[in-house]
Amino acid sequence: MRKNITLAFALPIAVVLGLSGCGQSESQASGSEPSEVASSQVEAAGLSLDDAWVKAADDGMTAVFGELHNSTDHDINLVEAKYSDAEMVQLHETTEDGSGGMSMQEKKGGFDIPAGKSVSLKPGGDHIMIMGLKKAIKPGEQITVELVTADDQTTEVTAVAKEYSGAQEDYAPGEADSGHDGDGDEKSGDDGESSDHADSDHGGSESDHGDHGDH
Amino acid sequence: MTTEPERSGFSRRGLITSAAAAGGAGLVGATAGFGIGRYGPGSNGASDGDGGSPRRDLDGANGAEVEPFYGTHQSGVETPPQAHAHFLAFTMKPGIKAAEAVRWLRLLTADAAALTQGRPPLADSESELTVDPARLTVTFGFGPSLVALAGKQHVPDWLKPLEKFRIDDLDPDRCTGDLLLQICGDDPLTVAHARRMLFKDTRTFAEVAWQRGGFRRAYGSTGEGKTQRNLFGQLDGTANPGPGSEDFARIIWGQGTDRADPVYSARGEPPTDLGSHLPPWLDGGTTLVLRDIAMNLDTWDKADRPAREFSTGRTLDTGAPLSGTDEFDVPDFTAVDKRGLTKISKAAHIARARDEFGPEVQIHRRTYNYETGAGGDAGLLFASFQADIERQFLPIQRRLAEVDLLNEWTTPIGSTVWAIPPGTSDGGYIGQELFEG
Repeated sequence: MRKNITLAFALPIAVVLGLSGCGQSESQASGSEPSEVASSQVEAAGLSLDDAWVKAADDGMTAVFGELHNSTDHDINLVEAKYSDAEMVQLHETTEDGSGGMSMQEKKGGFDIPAGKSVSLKPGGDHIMIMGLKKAIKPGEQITVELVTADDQTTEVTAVAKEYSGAQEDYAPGEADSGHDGDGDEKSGDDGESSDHADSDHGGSESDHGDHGDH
Repeated sequence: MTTEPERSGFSRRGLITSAAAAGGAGLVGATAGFGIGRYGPGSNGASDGDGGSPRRDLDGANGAEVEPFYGTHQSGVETPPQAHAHFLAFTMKPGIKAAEAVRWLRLLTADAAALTQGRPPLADSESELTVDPARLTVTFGFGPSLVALAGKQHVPDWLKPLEKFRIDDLDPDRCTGDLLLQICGDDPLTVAHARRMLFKDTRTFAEVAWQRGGFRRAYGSTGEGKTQRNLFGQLDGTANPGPGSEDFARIIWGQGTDRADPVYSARGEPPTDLGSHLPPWLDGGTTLVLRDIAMNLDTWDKADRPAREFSTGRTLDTGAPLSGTDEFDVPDFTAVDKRGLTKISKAAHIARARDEFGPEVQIHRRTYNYETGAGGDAGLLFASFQADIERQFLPIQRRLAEVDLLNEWTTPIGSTVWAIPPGTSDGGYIGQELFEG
C-alpha cells in the first residue's frame, strides 16, 4: 500500500484529491512509466507526504519517512508534527558525527519545503521522530500523523509501517548494544522521557522482532 | 542429433561457434554437433526475429522489460516463463488472525507491485537493485490455513495435499506452507533482491517453510516461447496451451473468452466449465500443483539414446513424437513400425500422459530445473496450472504414477497444492476477494 497521501492545506485552492490515485508519484529515475498522478497532485496544491512509511516499533521511538512535496507556489515551513499515540514528536535532521556514525537532533525552525519542490525524509537524513510510543506500531499498520505549518495550517498524512532494521542513527548508539540486546531491550523501558535517545530500545535488530513480533 | 538440414530454424542460434556465416551445406557440416536442431520451428513460425548472425546485446535490452502486476489475473502463470524462478513457501506464525494476514498481504502486494515495475518498494534499502526488473513477476499462492483465516467455508475441497501416489517419496518438509511466492525473472540479481524484500516484510508474520530456486535457459540464449529442456536433455512442456489462446483461458482460468473465432489445439475444444470448482473468491484465479521431482542423472546416464527416446515417446533432438518429425506434430499412438509395433510405446511418457484423454485433461506446465551442484541434487520444479485439479491434473498424474517408463529415473519428493487468487488493481491486494468478499 504505497500511498501518496495528498491532503491539502486550507489554501484557497485546496482540493483534496481522493486517495485512489496512488502509485509512485515522484518519478524514479528508472521509472518505466510516467505517473499520471504526479500532474494531478500539482493541481491539487498543498503539501503531501508521498510514499510515507514509518518504521514499525513495539515501543520507544520510531520515525516517519517519505517525500514531502509542496505543490503550491509559495514556500512552506513545516514546524511541527503530531501523533496521538506518542509522548512527543519532533522534526529531526541527521548529521555526521565525525566518526562514521550519524547523530540526529531537532531541526531548528523545522523543514522548509520550497514552492514546487520536495524534501526527502529518509533514514540517515531528515525525518519525523516519534518518541515515547504509547502503543505498538505493527508492520502493515497505517498511522496518521498531523503536520503543522508555520502559518498554523494542519494536514493529516498516513504512513504504512514497515519492519526496518536501519534508521538507527542515535536510537541505538553503538553496534555492540544491539548485539546483546536481550535485557538491554527489556530494561530500556522507555518511560516517555523520550528525548533521551540513549536508552531507546530501537537498537532493534531482527531478534527484537522475534521476541516481540507475536501478536 | 546430427542432421536436421531441412529445418528452416536450425542454424541461427547454433552458429555461435561458427565465425563466418559462410552459408550452404558446408556450414551444416561445420556446425554439426554444436546444437543443430536444438529446436524445431515453433508453432508460431520459425523466426526468432533476428534472422542474422549472433550478436552481443550491448544495450541491456531486456533489463527494462516489465510484466504487468495489476490485472484480471496474476502474472507469472500465462507469462512466458522467465529464466529464473524462486519458489518460496511460508508458514504463518502461531496466532495469526485474518487482520494480520491482510496486513501481510497488503505489504507483499505493495512490494510486488513496485518491484515488478522496476521501482523500489517503501523502505527498500537497496533501491538500485530494482532498476532492471527484467520481467520480474511475483505470483501468490494460498494454502488452506491461510484461506481458513477468512472462514473455513472458503476453503475449497480440492485445496489439500494430493492423494498418495506409489511413485512418491515425499519429504514432509517440502509439502507444507500457507503462502507460496513464485518469484520469476530473467535476472537472478533482481530476483534475489525481490526475494529479500518480500522476506523482510514477511518475518513478522511467518517463517520460511521451504524454498527452491530453478532455472531455464538464460534470456537471449533461445527465442522466447521455445520449449525448455530439462536436465535429462528433454524438451519439456511441448503440449502446453499457448499464452493468450482460448485453450489457455478455458484450461487454466476456467472460463472462455467469448472471442468470435476461437482456435483450439489438435486436442479439441476444451469445455467451458472447468472453472466450476473455483469458489467466487477465485474468479480470475486458478490452481497450482507444485511437484518437486528429483531426477536421477546417474541412472539416466546408463540409458542410451534409444532407450531414452523410447521411454518418453519423443526424440531428444527435436522433441518430435516418435510417430512424427516435428516437435508439434500430434502424436499418433497407432502408428506402427516395420515390425508392426507401435512407434510410441503404450508405456511411454507421452502415451500415458495424453492418449485417450479428452480435451479437458490438459494442464499448463511451467517447469524449472534445479541442480545444487556437481554430484548434488537435480530435478524439476513441476509447476502445473489448471482450473480443476480433479478433472485435469489428477487423471494424468494417476496414469503416470501407475505406469510411465520415465518413473525409472524420477522421484517426486515434494508436493503442494495452492489456490492462485486473481490479480488485483491499484489500491487492492492479492486475496482481497477472499478476506473482504
